[in-house]
Amino acid sequence: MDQASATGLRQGVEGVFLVALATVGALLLDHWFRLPSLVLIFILPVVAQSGRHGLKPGLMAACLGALSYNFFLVPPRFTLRVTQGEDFLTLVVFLIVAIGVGNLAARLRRATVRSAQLSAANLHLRLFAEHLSSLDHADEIGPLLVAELEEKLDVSARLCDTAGPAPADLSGLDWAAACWSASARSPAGRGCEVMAGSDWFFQPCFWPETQTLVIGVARSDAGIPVPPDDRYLFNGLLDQARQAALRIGLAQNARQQLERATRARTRDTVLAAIGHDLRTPMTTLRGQILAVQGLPEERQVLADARAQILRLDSLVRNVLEMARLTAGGTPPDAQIVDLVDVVADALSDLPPEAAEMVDLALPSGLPMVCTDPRMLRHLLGNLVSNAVRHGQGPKGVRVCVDVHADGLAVQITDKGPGLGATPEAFFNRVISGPSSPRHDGAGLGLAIVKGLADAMGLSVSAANQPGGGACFTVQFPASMLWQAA
Amino acid sequence: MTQQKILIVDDEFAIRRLLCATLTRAGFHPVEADCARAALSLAAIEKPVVVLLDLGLPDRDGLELIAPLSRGGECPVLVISARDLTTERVAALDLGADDYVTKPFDTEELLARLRAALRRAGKVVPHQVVQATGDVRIDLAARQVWKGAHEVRLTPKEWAFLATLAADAGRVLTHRHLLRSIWGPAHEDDLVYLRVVARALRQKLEADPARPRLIRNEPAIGYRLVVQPA
Repeated sequence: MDQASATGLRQGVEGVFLVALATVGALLLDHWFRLPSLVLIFILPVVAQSGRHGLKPGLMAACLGALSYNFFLVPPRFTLRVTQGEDFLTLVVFLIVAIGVGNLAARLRRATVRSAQLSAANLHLRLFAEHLSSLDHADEIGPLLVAELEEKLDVSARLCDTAGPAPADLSGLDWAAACWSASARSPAGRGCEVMAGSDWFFQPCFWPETQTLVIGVARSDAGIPVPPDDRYLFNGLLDQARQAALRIGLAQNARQQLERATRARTRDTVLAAIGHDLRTPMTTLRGQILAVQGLPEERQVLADARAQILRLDSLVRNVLEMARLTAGGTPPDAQIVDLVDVVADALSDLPPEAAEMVDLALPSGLPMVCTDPRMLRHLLGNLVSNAVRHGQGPKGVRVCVDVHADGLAVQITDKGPGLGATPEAFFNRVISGPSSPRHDGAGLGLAIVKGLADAMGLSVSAANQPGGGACFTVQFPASMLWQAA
Repeated sequence: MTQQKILIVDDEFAIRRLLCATLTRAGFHPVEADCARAALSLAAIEKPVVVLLDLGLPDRDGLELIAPLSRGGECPVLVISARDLTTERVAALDLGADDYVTKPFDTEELLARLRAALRRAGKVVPHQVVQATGDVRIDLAARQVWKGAHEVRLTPKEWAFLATLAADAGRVLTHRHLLRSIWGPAHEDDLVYLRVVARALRQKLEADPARPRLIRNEPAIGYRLVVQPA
């Protein structure tokens, strides 16, 4: 307060001095010039004062000038009396003009000062942004922002996480303002309408992922923490910090995704190479068996050998799929597929005569489904082969599609011995070990059915049919159906 | 008549020998290459009529070889692929491969594909009448389809789909190729169009629409019109 009054006093003295100077000048010139034009000299102190110090000193200079002109120059001299109407008019017009000019000069000065402030703020912001751009961790942004606010705005600043416990040095009201600011996502505290009684001013940071963070500022003299002139810099610094947090978050995300993609690619390449190496000898073997003509009594042996190779091939496929699923899985590549196609393709695992015997109940006008065709084919293929192998041959196997209100169900039923007391346990048989009538590798196939269904967002269930035999059901949720218009 | 030369490109000795035996028995003259370099030089010297190309080669990616080996579509390239990831097969077809077989394959199936490729390569103008499986006859010039003795009425899109498949009868056409040539480039990802038209066609032409024999779906790759074995 002392400093402000000292400045005021100095400006006042300066005003008096300048008006005195103008009076002396006017008195000297009085000899050559006529009276009303001399009043113009008194405009000069007004312009000087309002241009340098603002409107108030300017107005003071205008009043002093008018008094001085009246006292020293207007006849009768050395009195404040005005006898002639024309002198009175001069004085009034002088006052009006002086006030107008003072106003303009003061406004010009304010604009200059403001633009200087803005360019200084922009410089600060640029330097701060440069500083932030060198950071690699989101944790480093907070302390840097606090330090910058304290230095540039001359306040005390702090970063509060309102999800955490209240700091001991904040009053209950301060903490309430901080929490309110975070939850309402708007400023609160001193200088705002909300909880103005707090010593602190809080504003949410809006950083990604940490929505509960607020920045608080306070002044030691209990003044408004962020006066309008500082708003620009304050908001700018907060913005820069948010951008930095965003950038670091994105960079981290991108890095993680790249790592994940690289891992997935390596895995796929390795699995593809293994698949290639396992299938090459099978291809050769299959061709060689076909090439052997054989004696009539050997034909059956050759046909069996061929069937065994087909099974070996499906086993290899299952093992590879299991490896893919346990390694986190390739994400499903969903597209629109016709169930008719997938079922027909799944049946192609069987010998053609057997595929012909499977009973298909696919109503016409089925909705299309949106899913990964390779995975769905593998899933259904495993269920069909399983049904044929354990259900006394392909004759009793039935594939039936049902559309209902909650989606669509594909049922694969057989007329075999059924699944015993705990049908659902068959999906986990690889883990639980061979202890049921269905042995010889079916466990892996069903475990893969379960794994594939989970990866694709389908549900599978196993049950015994009332009339005997097993029934496996694959459920498609309504969201995966695509009704052809 | 000289025997037609077939170039086999595979790094696996056992597969090459099997293919050689099969092809020789079927009346062809096989030529073998075990790597990309040998394949390119043999293709230039021997001028084969068909190339059987395994994509997993030691020195270069098989996909790179499709364009130089096919000599601008003059020589059909049959890709032999063991990978169960379909993107590679689609890429091979998009790059100009004529067809593909997947390991493990039946040698009979391979021979059938090979003969079909030769037929397509040999023809100067597309067949005007295609005799497809299931007693379906497609007359491309008259724009008519016959099932047995009855003519079948098709919508314009159904006809376009069937005609596109019939013009390359026996060969797999990728989804993207079909969509682009029937609906235009703006719709090359609208797979649902194809699914709907394929189903409608099967309802009209297949003996049992639940067991499609005529219009075969190649999962995640495309469709194939099955022709009557000659």
